[in-house]
Amino acid sequence: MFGSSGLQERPRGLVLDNYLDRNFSRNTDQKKVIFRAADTYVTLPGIHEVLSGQKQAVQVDIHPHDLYYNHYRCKSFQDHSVDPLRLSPFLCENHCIGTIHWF
Amino acid sequence: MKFLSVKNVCRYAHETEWLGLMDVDEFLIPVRTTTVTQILSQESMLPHSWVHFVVANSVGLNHSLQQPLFVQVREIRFMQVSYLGHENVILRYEPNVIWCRKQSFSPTLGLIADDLLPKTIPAKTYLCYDVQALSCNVWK
Repeated sequence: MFGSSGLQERPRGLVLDNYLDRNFSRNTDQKKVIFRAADTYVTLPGIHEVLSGQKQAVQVDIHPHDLYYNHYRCKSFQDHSVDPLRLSPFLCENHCIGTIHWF
Repeated sequence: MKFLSVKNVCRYAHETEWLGLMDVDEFLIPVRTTTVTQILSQESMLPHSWVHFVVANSVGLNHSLQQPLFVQVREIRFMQVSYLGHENVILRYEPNVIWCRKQSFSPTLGLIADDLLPKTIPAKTYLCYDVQALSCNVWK
């Protein structure tokens, strides 16, 4: 989970290069599942889980040495101010680890 | 539990081979390759037709990268799924066979077992790999 990294304005360049401060908690079991579209039937218990109707289906963890994902929960104050679904900055700060100097 | 056709879940299912459900603020980061497809294409080395890949969140990643204890498995002879539901079963140990409860897949390192047996284990799903060329990599 990444935070604002103290940025007021939207930085030029890539998100990965500009937002660096993140939560180091290990308290998450969030994951993403990449599955074959050719699998005929699936069920989606949640956004982080995909179950196959195939009894033979196997889930294999991709090792983080090869692939992982970042979650950029909030970005700069400029991004936040134009987000129609924005939370209060106080709530946002509670959700994110990172330097927030909005006031 | 109701299973839905993939084509009913995603309108683009017929246009792609792989599907993943990502939010717009979630970014996939391939580390040793330039594309995710290169990683997924390694699926062909697994002896199974229906393989789903699970991608880890970067939360806590530093810890797992700095202190891994991995055994590299170079060759897969067979795969056994499930262990009859018996709990606390002590599995037989054979020199060229390792049983692992957790497994990770790495195109560059092969299958990685990070929980090795023999020892008492709870019943769950286990994979058994018969390996001839077993090399141990211990990184601390």
